[in-house]
This record gives sequence, C-alpha cells and structure tokens, in this order.
Amino acid sequence: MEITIEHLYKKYKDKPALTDINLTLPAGSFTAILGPSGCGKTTLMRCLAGFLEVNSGTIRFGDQDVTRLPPQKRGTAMVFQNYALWPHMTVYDNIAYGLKLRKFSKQQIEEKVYAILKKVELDPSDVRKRRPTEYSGGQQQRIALARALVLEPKLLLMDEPLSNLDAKVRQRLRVEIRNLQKDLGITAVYVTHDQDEALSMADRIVLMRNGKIEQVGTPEQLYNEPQSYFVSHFLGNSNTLEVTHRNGKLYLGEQEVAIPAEAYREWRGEGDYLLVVRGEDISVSFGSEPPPGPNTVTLKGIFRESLFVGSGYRHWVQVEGQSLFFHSEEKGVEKGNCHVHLPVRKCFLFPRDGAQEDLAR
Amino acid sequence: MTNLASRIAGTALVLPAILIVGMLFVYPFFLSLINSFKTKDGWGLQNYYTIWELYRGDVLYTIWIAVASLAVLLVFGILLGGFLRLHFNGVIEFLFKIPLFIPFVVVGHAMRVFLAPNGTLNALLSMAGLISLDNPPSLAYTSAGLIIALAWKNLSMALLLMMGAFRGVDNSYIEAAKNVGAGRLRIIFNVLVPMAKGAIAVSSVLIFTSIIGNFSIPVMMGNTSGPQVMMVDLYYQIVYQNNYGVANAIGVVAYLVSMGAAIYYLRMVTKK
Amino acid sequence: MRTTVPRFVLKAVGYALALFVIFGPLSSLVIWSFAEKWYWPHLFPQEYGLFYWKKVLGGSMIRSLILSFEIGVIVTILALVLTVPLSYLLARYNIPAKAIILVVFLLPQAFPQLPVFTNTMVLMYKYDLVGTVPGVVLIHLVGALVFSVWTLVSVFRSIPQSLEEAAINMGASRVRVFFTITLPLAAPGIAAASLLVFLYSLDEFTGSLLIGAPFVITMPIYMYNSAMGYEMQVSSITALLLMLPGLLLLFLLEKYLKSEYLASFGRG
Repeated sequence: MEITIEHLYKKYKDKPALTDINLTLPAGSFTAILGPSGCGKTTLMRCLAGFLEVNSGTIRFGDQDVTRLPPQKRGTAMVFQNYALWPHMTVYDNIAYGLKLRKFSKQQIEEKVYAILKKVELDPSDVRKRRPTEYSGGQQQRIALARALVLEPKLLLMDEPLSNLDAKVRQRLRVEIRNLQKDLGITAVYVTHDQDEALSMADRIVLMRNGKIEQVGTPEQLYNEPQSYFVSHFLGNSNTLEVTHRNGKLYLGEQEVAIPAEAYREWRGEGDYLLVVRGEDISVSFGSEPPPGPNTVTLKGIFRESLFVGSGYRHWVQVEGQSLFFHSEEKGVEKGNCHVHLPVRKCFLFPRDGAQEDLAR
Repeated sequence: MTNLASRIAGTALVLPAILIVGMLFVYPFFLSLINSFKTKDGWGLQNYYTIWELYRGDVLYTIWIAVASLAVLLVFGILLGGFLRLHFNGVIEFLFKIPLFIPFVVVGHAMRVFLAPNGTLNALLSMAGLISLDNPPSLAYTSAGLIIALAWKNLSMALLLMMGAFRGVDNSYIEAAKNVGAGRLRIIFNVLVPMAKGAIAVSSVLIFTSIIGNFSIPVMMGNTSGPQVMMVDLYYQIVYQNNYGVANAIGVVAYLVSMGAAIYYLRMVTKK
Repeated sequence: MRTTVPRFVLKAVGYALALFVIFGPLSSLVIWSFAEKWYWPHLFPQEYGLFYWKKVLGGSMIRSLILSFEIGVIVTILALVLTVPLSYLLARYNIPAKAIILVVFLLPQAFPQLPVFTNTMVLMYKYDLVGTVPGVVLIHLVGALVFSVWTLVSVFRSIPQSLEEAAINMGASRVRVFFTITLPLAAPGIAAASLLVFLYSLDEFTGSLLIGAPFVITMPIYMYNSAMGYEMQVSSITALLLMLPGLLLLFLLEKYLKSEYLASFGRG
C-alpha cells in the first residue's frame, strides 16, 4: 500500500511540531525516519497512526484519504518502544486481541496466532498460559511484532522498538525485522535516533530536524551526497573545518586547499565555508611531501595523539589549529609535523552562515 | 464521536459527583455564613455579640486545646519521625499507624474509660504505687484528657506527615552531618527540621484545623465543668437552644480560626 | 568516661513505651468487654464472662451493625459509580478546572463538618431526607468521595497510556479499551479505594448523628448513645466491634499497597 503525505502541518499550542511535510512511501518499502530528539519523528508517526490530529494537510493510504479517520479505523499496526504488551493477558490473548475485534472464528484465530509465532521465531509452547513479563526483552519485542503483523496491516509503524534492548540482541533483531518485513511485503515506517540502525535497515531514510524534512533518499545518497551541513554532520564520523574562499582560492588558515570550490552546488563565491570530511576518509603520512594527486588534497598538519579504542586507534591531528579525528588500525608512530590527505570527492562544502546553530553543538 | 458530543458526555459523567459535594457541602457552607447573621429580630450581628459574651472563653479554650495538642504532636512527630528517618524500624512504624484506623468515636470512648478516675490508667499507676486510689486524679473529663485523646488519634497523621517531610531531605545532607560527627538529635534539629520547614508548617496547619473542627472526640470525652470546645457549644446550641443563628456564628468563628492559622503559619514560613 | 545505658535496655524501654501508648487505651475496651462485675475500688473486674456479649449480640446493636454495613456497601458502590468515570477523565484528559475539581472534593475534609452539616440537615429536611437511609447515604458520600477520587486519579495515571493506545491501534473503541484494558489493570487500586470509602462510611459520626438519629442508628451512634448512658460493657463491646474492620483494612493495606494511601485517611 503506497502512503502519501501532503503538506502536513501540526502545532502544539502555537509551537510548530511539523512544518510542510511531503512524503511518498512506495508500497512494500521500509522507510526510516531519523533525527535528533525533538525533530518531530515521533509526532509524524503518531499522526500517521491517528493518535494526533493534524492542523492541515492530507494523509492517504493508497487511494483512501485517512486524515480525519480515528486511529481504530486506519488499519495501521504499531510497535511501541516499551512494547505496550498487556500485562494482565496471556501472550496468546495479547496477539489474539485484534483478531477477536475483527470477529474471526476461534479456529481462524488459533491458526493465525500460531502462524505468526512461527514467523517471528517465538516458541509457541505455553503461550496460552504465560504472561509477557515472563519473557525476555528480545522475546517481548517479538511478541509485540507478532501482535502487529498478525493483523496484516496496511502500514507497520515502529517507534524505536529496539532502543530498550542490549546491543547484541538489537543487531540480531534488526536483521530479523527487516527480513520479516520483506517477506510479508508490508509498507513499514521505522522511527529511530540511531543512525547505524537507519543506515543498515532502510530502503529510504527521511532525515528530520525541527519539524522539517532535511533530506530524503537512500542510505547511500544521504551518506555520500548530503544536501546540507546538518545532514553531512549528522551521519558518520564527521569533521568540520572552517575555511574561507578569497582571491579565487579556498584557504584553511594560511594554507591553500586545492579543491574546486566552484564545482560544489553550495558555492556562493567569496566568503566563509565549512568543509566536512569523514574520519574514515582521512589519511596521514610523514616525511617529505608526496606529489599531490589530482584526487587528493594534502595539507600540512601536526599529529597530536592516538587513543586506543579497542577496534583500532583514534587519532587526533591539527591543521592550522583546527582538529581532525580519524580512525585506523595502526597506532601513530610519530608525532609532530605530518601530511594530511583528503580525497576530493569525499569533501563536502557548505556556506558557514545558516549553519551556525549546528556549529554550536 | 464529535467534539461537542464527547464534551457533553464527559460533562455528564463528571457532574453528579461534583453536584453532590456542591449541593451538600459547598452550598450549605455558604448558608452557614449567611445564617450566622440571622437573628430572631432579622439580620444583624447579634449572634456574634452572643459569642463574645458567652463563648469567648470557649473560643480561646478551643485554640488552646488545639495548640497544646499540636505541640504534643509536633514534638512527638519530629522526634519519632526524625529517628525513623535515620533508622528504619518497621515495627514502630506499623504500631503508630494503628490510631489512623481506629474510628474517632472509639478513640473517644476508649480514652474516656482509660483516663477515668476509676479507669485503667489509674489502676495501673496505683499498682505501681504512683497514686493512691482514695483520691485518684481524673484525666478523663478534663482538658488534659482531651488533649491526650486528640493527640493519640492524630499520632499517625502527624508521624506520616513528618516522615514525609523528612523523606524530602536528601540523604547527602544527613550523611554530611554524620560525617562531621553530629549525633541523631543534632541531625534532627539542625538538618532535618530546618530543611523540611515548609512541609512541617503545612502539616501543622492541617493538624490544627483538623483538631479545631473535630466533634466526635470532645463530645465523647467532654468537660464536666468549665469550658467546652467550639464544636460542642455549637451542638448544644442546636440541640438544646434550637438557636441556629448562634450555631452558625460559632461555625464561622471556627472557619476564621482555621483560616487564620493557615495564613499566619504559611506567611511565617514563606517570609524567609 | 560516659556511662551509657546498654542499647538493648533503651530499645526494650522504647518498645514497651510504644506498646503501652498504643495498646493501653485500647486495652480498657477489651477489659470492659469481658467484665461482668467490676466495682470500685478494685483494679480489675471481679468476674469475667460473655454475659454482655450475649446481651449485645441478641439486641438492637445487631440491627445497627447490619444497618451500618448495608449503608457502607451502598455508599461504596455509589462512590465507585460516581467517581470511576470522573477520575478516568481527570487522569487522562486536560480538563480545564481539574485542580479546582480535585480541591472541591477535599473541602469536606478540610473544613469543620459540624457547622456545615447542620445547614445540610436543614436543607435535607425540606426534602424529607432527614432520618432516612438515603439521607445518611448522601451525607456519607459527601465526605467519602474525596478518598475515591484522589485514589482513582492516581491509579489511572499509573497505567501507561501506550497500553490503551495499543488496543486502539488494534481497532478497539474507547469503551472497549476501558473495560478490557484499563479496568482490569486498575482493579487493585479500585479495591483500595473501595476499602477506604467503606471504612469511612462505617466510622462516620457527625453526619450520621445530625441526619440519621433518631431513626437511623448506625454503629457509631449506637456506641455514643450507650456510652452516654454509662452502659460501659455494651459500649465497649460495640467499640471493639467497630474497631475490627479498621484493623483488618490496616493489615490488608500493609500487605498489598503503598502507604501513600494511608496518609489521606483519617478525619473525624
């Protein structure tokens, strides 16, 4: 079922929570809504579910305009952050609740419940006797999923479902949820603040900030083609350098930065800019200056420190007084003067004004 | 359901309960204010003059009883509440919860028997040789007996309130005092009481107003001769004199005393 | 060198004192209940027996006992019916005058009841409610509702809204959600509120005296009458019986519920 959102506005007592949201979710897709806390992702999800009324705009499930429909009638199924499993009912009754409402026969309910339990890989023995609190966190999450999926909803909504679980359990469930969703072909929206989760699970990511959509695209697009400083900064281990374009060239302090600033979409001529480069793209060398390659920018820097972080070392380098952090397996052997190499096509350039509030973080 | 329909349904659900309290308490409350000015000869301040003449001693007596009971309760509440805050004791806490669950009338009667000249307390004291049975002191029908009864019933309330107030004081302050060598009494009076001042003030007002308005215990215990508390005077005015004007006026004086206490006390605390 | 009293002696004295303070006054009730002959200046009754128990249990006190229980049950049921929906709305929705409403219920416990109930009595007289069971039920409700409302609001607030939203999400109507999800989870709290209301009604004195007497005699009034009439044994037995439900409630609450509920109880 394709989901369309058009010009959605939502206010909480004069404070705008969602501003002009436009989004199309293709049928069967898995969309992650990502963003810092307060960005509006949960608000958007609750509008989709029908728990919040919108001020203006439309929401369509397929051809049907559901904007004014109460939550009971929308046909969405939600998986809550705290699972919201009813503690006074058995696991079986939890899953069967929605089916009972839809007046399925006892036989049908039993078939469906056991079928979905199999799909979420939950042991079906004793589900008619045991209560949710007797299961582990990971298992409870599966029960919550089963309860949602057994209804074959038009839209599956997941509100940070894995944030209460251990890292290892989370890793495993991510894959399982994704496979389950693909297998059943249900359109899914997944709210999270964890970028690893969004990047690894989603077909498309919607990055939000302050109630607005910053960028929509595939994970690769958002990561490699950020359209704003915020996006480039939010994803990955990003380093920000303050640079200035004057006399036709880009300067970091006194050093020239040999990248074609004019080629960037964000270029506005002379002025202050922010150069963003990810930690995994930085490399460092010592000794006499190597010949500059056409695809690499080389800067003179000072190697400061290496910290052991388990999977390798985190290195701290300074160029013209500004800091860069990057990661590699080897420990830095020398300290002091070094050459810093940045691949041109992995550098992002954005104007500095307009990005002030992000710099302050 | 439309917004309007749900609003009406909501109001219909809320209204009956509020109406009961409104019509059977709030409205009569205002009636008592109004009727306090009603005299045999129409409207006027007659009833208040009567109170001044007949009952001003009793008003002061009631306040004195309430203050004395409050004092007993504060001392008890602060000391015991303080000790329990520093050192949990389930048995003691449970014991002192008991008065809360004993009905007022039962307390009144029990105290009457316990403190009577021929009562159990005197019996025990004479067994210990502390008093002679020929001329036993009578606590039951005196102010002392009343204060004891009122304090006993309110023990739990006072203890719970003080403990609540002291629980609001963070452990780190207590530990800091222990660290520099303060004993338990010092901690109670130098740390707990000052830091819980506001809560103690509110609790005091609650206890005080509750005692001023209490009827069942004074009427059970009574004072054979001499002053009575206001509520008893009120009752006698209704039952024996059939004078609702004066009765209501006494009520109004009681409200004023309660409110006055509240205002005075809270001002004193919030000033700092 | 300081001589300190051994710790255990202090403790023993403390406990003894506490026990005396609490149980001393109550002990007289027990003694009087079983005393058949007790003449001054003897310290303790000469004869013990169950004579007065038989007298009491065969007499009009039983009528009052049953009446008090009946009224208690009616008051409890009515209180629940009136306040469960109200408390749910107050807990879940932003009702404009929420704080004022909560305070209104508190008023009968915050102000002296005697002066106000006097006027209530005059009011009820006009509607022929004085001296009737409905009249007594009403006057009990006035003071009891606060225990129900304040407790239930807290209970409903403690049920996570996500549990209700999950059911709505599944397609359940609000009414269905209330009965299948909310109420079962609120059951222990509702039980607590019921006990508080029942006990309040059982022990209520001022209103019952004004409204009920002399036609509707509840246990507390019966006890008061017999005490004023110097029927020591009868009044003590009545007092003992009156005490029991309260103590039972204390045990139940100690076992199952938090002591916050206790702080709201206990006004005369």
